Amino acid sequence: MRTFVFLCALLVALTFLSFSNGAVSISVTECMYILLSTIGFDVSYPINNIHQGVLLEIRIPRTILAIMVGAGLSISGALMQGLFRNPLADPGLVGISSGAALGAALVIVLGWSIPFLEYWTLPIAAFIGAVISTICVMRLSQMGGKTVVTNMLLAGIAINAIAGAGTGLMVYLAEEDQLRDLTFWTLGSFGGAKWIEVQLAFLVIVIPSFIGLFLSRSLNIMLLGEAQAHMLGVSLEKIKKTIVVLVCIIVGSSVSMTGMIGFVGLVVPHLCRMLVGADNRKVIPASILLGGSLLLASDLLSRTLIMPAEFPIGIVTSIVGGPFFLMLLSMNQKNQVW
Amino acid sequence: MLCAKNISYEIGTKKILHNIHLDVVPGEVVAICGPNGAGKSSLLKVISGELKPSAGTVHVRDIELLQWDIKKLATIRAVLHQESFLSFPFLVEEVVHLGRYPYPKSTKNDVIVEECLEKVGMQSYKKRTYTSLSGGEKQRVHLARVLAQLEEESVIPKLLMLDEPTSALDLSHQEGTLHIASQYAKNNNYAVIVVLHDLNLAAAWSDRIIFLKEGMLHTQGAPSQVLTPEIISQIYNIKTRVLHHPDTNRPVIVVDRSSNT
Amino acid sequence: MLTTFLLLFSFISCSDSSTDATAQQAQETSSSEEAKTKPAEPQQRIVSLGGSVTETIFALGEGDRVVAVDASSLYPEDVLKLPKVGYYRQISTEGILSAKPSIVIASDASGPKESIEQIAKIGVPITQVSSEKTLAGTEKRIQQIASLLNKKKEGEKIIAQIREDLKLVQKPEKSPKVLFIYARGIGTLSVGGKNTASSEMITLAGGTNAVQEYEGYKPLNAESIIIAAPDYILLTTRGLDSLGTIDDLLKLKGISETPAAKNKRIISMDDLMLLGFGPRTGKAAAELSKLLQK
Repeated sequence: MRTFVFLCALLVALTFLSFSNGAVSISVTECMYILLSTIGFDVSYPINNIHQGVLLEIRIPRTILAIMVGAGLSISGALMQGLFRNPLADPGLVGISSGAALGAALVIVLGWSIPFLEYWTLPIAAFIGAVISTICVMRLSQMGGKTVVTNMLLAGIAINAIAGAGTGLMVYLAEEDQLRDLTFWTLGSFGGAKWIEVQLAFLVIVIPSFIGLFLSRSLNIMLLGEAQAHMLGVSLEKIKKTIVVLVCIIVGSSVSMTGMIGFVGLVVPHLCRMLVGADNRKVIPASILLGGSLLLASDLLSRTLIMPAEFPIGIVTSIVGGPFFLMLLSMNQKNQVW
Repeated sequence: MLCAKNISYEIGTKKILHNIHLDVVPGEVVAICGPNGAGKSSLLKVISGELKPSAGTVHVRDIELLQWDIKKLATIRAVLHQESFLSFPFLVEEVVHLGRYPYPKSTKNDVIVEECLEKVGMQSYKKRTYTSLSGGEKQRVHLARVLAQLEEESVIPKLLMLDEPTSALDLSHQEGTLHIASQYAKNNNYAVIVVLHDLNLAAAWSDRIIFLKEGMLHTQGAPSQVLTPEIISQIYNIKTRVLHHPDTNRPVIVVDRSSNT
Repeated sequence: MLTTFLLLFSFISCSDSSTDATAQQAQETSSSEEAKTKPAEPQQRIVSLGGSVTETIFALGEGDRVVAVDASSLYPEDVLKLPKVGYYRQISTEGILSAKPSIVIASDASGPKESIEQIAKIGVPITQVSSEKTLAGTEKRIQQIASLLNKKKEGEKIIAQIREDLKLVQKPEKSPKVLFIYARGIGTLSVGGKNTASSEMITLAGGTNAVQEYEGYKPLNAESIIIAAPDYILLTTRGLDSLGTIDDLLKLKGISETPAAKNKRIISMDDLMLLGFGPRTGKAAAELSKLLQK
C-alpha cells in the first residue's frame, strides 16, 4: 500500500515538473494561474499569451499522452510476460512494433496518403501494420483450434523478420530526407502531441488498459502453465486472444502516435515485481503508475537535455533505462528475486 | 465419481492408450503403475481432460467431461502435474492462493491457504519466494495449492489426481504426501488417483492398483492381489520377491538378488 | 532508488531552468539594442529552418535578426553561434518558441507537420518557402524570402548575381561524366542518380551525371560504377573527410577501376555550397565547371 502511495506521489510530482519545465520558461506560479484561468477562474495576473499557448497546446497534451502511452506500454509488457509465462517477454515479440514500423515506412517513403484523412495517414498505416502482423501471428499460432504460445513466439520471429525486410526495402528506396524521417520516427517523440491525440489515446490506450486490469487474476493462473490454468477453470482461449487483441490495440496505437519507444514494456513490469512482488493484481496497477511516471520523466529529459532542441525519447528511455535496469539486475541477482 | 470407458489415445499412428476402462469411486485411492512409457501420464491427462481421447468417453459425476462448466469442474476436481512452469517470484502463500481462483468471493481463503500449507509442512515458508525453493519444496507447495483448490464446505465428493507427486521428495515427505492423500480419501470422501513409480508406496497407500503395460490395462486389483512375483515379472520383466510388512501386513516388494545377478 | 531518480530529475530541471533564464536575459538585452537601431521594423526576431533559407536571409542582410536556426544551417559562420532548435525535419516546437520569434521562416520540407501546426496555433506566424533543389527553386526561394522581409530589391540583386556567375560556366565540347558520391564514412557510400541536387548542380556546371538509370541516392555498387565510367568523381568536403584522404578513396573497390581514379580526378566542394542551392548557387556552378576543365 505504501508503495502505491509513493508511485502516485511520484506521478503527480513529475506531472508538475513536466508542466513547468521546458525550453520556454514558465514559472510554477504562472502555470497555476494559467490553469486556473483556463478552468474559468478570474485571475488578476498578467498571463503571457505565448506561455498560455505553450502550456495548453504543447505541454499538457504531451504530458498526458506520455503518461497514457507509458502506462499502456507497461501494462502490455506485463500482459505479454504473463501470456508467454516469461518475465523477459515484450510486446515486440508478436511483431506488433515491426508491423507498425513497416506501415510507417511505406507512408514515409512511398508518400501514400489516405483521401480526407491525409493528416492521419501515417498513424493509420502504422496501426494497420501492427494489426496485420498481429493477425498473421495469431493465425500462424493456431493448432487444432488452440492458440499455441510457442508457435506464437516462432511466428512472431518470422513476422518480425519479414516486416524488417520490408522496412529495409523502404530504407533502400528512401531518399535522404525520408531516411531521416524514418529514423526519427523509429526513435519516437511526443513533440507532436495534440489534444485530439489525447482524446484518441483515451479510447485506444486507456480503455484497453482498464480491461487489462480485470485480467490480472486469470493472468496469475496462466503463469502456472496452460494445463493447470485449465484445471483451475480459466478459459484459456478467451484469455489468450483477449491479451493479444488488447496488446495489439494499445501498442499499435501508441507506436502509431508517438513512434517506437523501446524498453518501457520490458522493464517497468520488472521494476514493479521488485516493488510489489509477482502477483499481477498488484503488478498491473503498479505498472500503470510507474510506466506513466517513467515515460513522463524520459520525455521531460528528452526536451530539456539539449534545449532548445529535442532529443528522441526512444534514446532517452534506453540510455537512462538500460544502465538503471542492469544495476537493478545485478543487485537483485544476489537476492534471487527472479 | 470418475468413469472412463473404452479410452484410446493415438499420436499419429502410434497407439499410446488402447481401450482402457477405469472406474473410481469416492473414498478410494487408486494407484496407476507400470513401466516407463506404459501410458500412465497420458491416461491421467485423458481422464483430466487435458488430452482428447481418440475414442471413448470420460464422465465425472455422470456428466461428460466436455459438458462440464470448467469453473464448476475446478471446484470438485484438481490435478497436480509432474512439472510446474512457474518462473515468477511469487511468495509461497501467493502460489497456494492461486488454488483459490475458483472462489474469488470466499472470505475463508486466507485461512484455507494457511491450513493447506500446514498440512504439507510448509507453513514456515509462506513468506519465502517460490523461485528460491528446492524442487521437493516446490512440489509440496503445489500439493498445498491443489488441496486448497478443492477445499470447500459442500459435501460433494471431490476428485484429486496426482501425477508422480513424490518424484522429487525425500523419504519422509513421500510418506507425508501419500498420507495426506489417503487421509483425504478416508475422511473427506475424496476419490484419489495417483500415478506412482514406486510399487512399495503404491502397496502401502493405495486401495487399488492399476497396472498399465504398452498402453493397455494389464491387471487391476487390491495391492495384495496384484503385487505377486508373477504379475510383476510380466509387467516389469524382473524377478522379485514379495514380503509382508510387519506392521500392516501389506506387500513389500524386493528384487530377487539370487537369480537376477 | 526511485527517490534518487526523482532527485536527479529535480536537479536536472533546476539547472535547466537557470541556464534558460540566463540565455533569455541575454536575448532580451540584444533585442532591446536592436530595437534602438531599427525601431520601425515590424518583424524583429526570425527563427530560420533549413540551411539555404538561413543562408538567403543572411545574404539579404538580415542575418542579425535571426535568433535561432536548425541544425542544417551552417553558413555563414555567424550562424554557428546561434542556438539550434534541432534538425529541420524534426524541430522542437517549444525550442522554437523559446527563442521568442516574431516570425518563423521554414523550408517547406520542415517538419513534423504537428510542430508547424502547433507554432501557428499558438500565434507565431510561420511561413514555408520552396525547398526545391534546382536553379528555378533557388530563385523562387530568394524571391519568397525577400518579399517576406521587405527586401525585394536586394533579392533581385542576388538573383542577378547568380545569373551573372552562371555565365562564367564554360561549357566544354564534350560534357564530362561526373559521379557524385554521398559519403558518411566507409560502408555508407551512396551514389547520386537523376533528379538529385547533385545531378542538378553537375548539369549546371556543364557536366553530365554519370548515373542515368535511377533517381535519388542509392548505395554504391562497385560493378555499376565501373560501367558508368565517370571522368570525375565529386564529393562534399565533409563526405571526403569521412573517408580519409583522396588516396583512401582511390583504393575503394570499383572506384579504383574508373577513368576518374586513374587520372586522379577527384573533386570535393563545401556541402552547403554544392548541394544547398542557396545564394551561392551560381558561384558553386562556376567553380565546379572550372574544376571540370582540369
